[in-house]
Amino acid sequence: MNINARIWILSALALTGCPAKSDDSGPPPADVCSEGTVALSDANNYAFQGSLDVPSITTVSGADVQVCWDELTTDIQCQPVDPAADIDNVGLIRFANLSQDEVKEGLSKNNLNQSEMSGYVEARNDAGGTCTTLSAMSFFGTPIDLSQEYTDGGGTYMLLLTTGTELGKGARMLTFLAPSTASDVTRADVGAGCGVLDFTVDLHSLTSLPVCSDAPWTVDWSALTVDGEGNAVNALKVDSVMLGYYEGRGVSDIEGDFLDLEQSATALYTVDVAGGTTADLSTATNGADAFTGFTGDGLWLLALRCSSCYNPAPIFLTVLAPTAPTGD
Amino acid sequence: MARHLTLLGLAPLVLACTGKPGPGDASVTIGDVTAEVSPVIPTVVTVTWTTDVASVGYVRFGDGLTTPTESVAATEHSAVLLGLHMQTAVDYQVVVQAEEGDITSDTASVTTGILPNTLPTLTLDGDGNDLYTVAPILGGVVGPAIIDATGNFVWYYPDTRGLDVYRARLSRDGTSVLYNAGSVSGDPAQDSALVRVSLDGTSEVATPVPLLAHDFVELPDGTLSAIAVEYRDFNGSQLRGDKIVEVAPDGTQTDAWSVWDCFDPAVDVGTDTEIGWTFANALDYDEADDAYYLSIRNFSSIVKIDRATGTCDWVFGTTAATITPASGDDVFLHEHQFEVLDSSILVFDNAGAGSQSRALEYSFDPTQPTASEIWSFYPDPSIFTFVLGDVHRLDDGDTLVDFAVGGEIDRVTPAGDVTWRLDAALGYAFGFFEAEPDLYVARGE
Repeated sequence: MNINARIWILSALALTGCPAKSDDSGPPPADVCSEGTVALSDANNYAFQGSLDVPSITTVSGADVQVCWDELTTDIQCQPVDPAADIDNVGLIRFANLSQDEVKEGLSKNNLNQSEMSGYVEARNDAGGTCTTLSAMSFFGTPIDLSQEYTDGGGTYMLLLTTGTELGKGARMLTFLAPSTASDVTRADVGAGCGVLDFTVDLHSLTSLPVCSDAPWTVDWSALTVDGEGNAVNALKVDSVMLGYYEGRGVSDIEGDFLDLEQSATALYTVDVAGGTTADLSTATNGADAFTGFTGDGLWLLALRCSSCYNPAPIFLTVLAPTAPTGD
Repeated sequence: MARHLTLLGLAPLVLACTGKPGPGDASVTIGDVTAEVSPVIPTVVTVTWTTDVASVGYVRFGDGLTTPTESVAATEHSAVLLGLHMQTAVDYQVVVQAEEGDITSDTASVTTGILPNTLPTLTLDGDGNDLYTVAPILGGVVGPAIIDATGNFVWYYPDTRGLDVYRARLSRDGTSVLYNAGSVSGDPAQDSALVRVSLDGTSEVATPVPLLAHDFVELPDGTLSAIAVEYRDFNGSQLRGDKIVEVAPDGTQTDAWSVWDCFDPAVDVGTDTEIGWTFANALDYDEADDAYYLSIRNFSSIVKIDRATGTCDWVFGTTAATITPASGDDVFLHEHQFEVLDSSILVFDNAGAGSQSRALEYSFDPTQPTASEIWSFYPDPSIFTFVLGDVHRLDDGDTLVDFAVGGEIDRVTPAGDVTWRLDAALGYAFGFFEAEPDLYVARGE
């Protein structure tokens, strides 16, 4: 499960007590079952406010540092981590002109450019260990001269520990390293990730989204302008649509099962999106069976995800209001 | 005929179109005009048509664009529309040259498809560039791409080998994009290849060339010359050097030159020897002199190699240098691409200024022992490009500077003003690049 899947769970967990504003949406449009298009708008979107309390470890400057993660037993979304088995790659990113706070803000807003990164090296964990060293890291075959490149005042350094080796995906933990001439610390212990991500989610203020209980359903997010955090959205970066159903449960019930939302779902369907701004929910599957319709009295949620975005929060998350077609 | 029928079967749009003036008046009649979006590259459209007599023609499309006029008269025709944005309706019209003048089909429209959402978000600042950028994308995805001056992808071909791509070029014959798939991270890849993919993406020919390094060039006769890693015994162990491999159009591979031909590891010792002796990383070709120019990273030097004799005419830089930067001038370190101009040499300097990469230009006379710095460019804010990096001087005196893994390409005036800046989102980088005024390169020759 990638970071976006996990944060989707977290986001949905924040459905604290307050029901979605389905009553405010009024009766569904008369044509909700005739057009087949499920048009998403900003009014349907949740509100997400998050911050990353990324720990910072002060170390020696200009010299090698051993990085260990045997204490990394939970990730930033409080999911369990097997330090040896789950961490496949340890990367060190340097931002020459950004402070730690600016890096955190940029990650949250998903608006960092590659040019702001002034260095990246990595070490693969093919042997399943729990320690590496900065001197073991390289990129494109090029190692770094630690005496020159890892220095007090040289920028902001951030460790990125991931499951998988695809750059920008599968992040399990972030930790700043702060080289200091006043430090003689040569070992950095990356701690547990639970607690790093602090956020609030508001689903009660959104306008729930009417959908016809029966096919066809073409979800169209071309009209979205902002994501859940109010940042300008790049709708073309959506790479999956998720549908979650919770039998006999409401938003308040889900609050207590926040971390297990995916596991506790009665049904969870996903559509992979290769590009564009539409998806056909008829092609959603739970891994075995196709999605056939909105049934039951429980809660339906729909999320748009972007696995290549550094902000793991869903771009869009809403409560659905299924409506049976009128017989005529 | 079989191909034509296949296209007709696939085409979403078939026009029963007749040339103008009417069939009774024209010497050529246009029929069966079709447009098909490439199933591989959704921003490429192939237009086909027939004529009742052998003729040549072309396609007008989009905002004043045209395909090249066909070179051979025929009755079945096709043209590939390039430079299009995704999800865009494009008007097009077939033009056939006839005795009485141009005959045109009705104007029709076709809508391009959707590029993968795994491509990076690009941010554009400034409008001072009118060239296409041909460059690999690295990072979250890997493959050759073409980006227009508005910062939009107009072509992308995902490479699925699990290797990196460092260089992409339009082929000299105008039919393909050429790129290298290899790895210079750690040990070089045994399964590296030079790849030729047709402009519509439906044909790929990969020529295996083991141990490819960063760069290759295409010679005028279609030969591909590439840097490859070469190991030789030195003091009882295998030493990592480099060679130039030539792949002839018929596929014959020849080792054309080796760093051992000009240098001695016992004498010419550079930096970072733990990653190899020479670590050659960029290659250019001088048609007038039939010579190669090769950047040797660990020497922080650029060498001119006579292709016919294999001799090294000069070495500019630090290790083994016959020409050095003038005293007091900036010295480049671990450079990558460069450009040898009539009386100067441009260098992308990765590390000569520490963690701040830059472009340097030296007045260059190969008969003189030193070269004086005459121009430089430092981006603001600073960028450290620890791998790759490229420079091109344009006809108007501007310079395009590719910060590669820094994810930024700048067009810079001689005064140092940035008139166009393209930035990739975090996690994506550019490889070496070419700047093309026209994607139909054969038209320019």
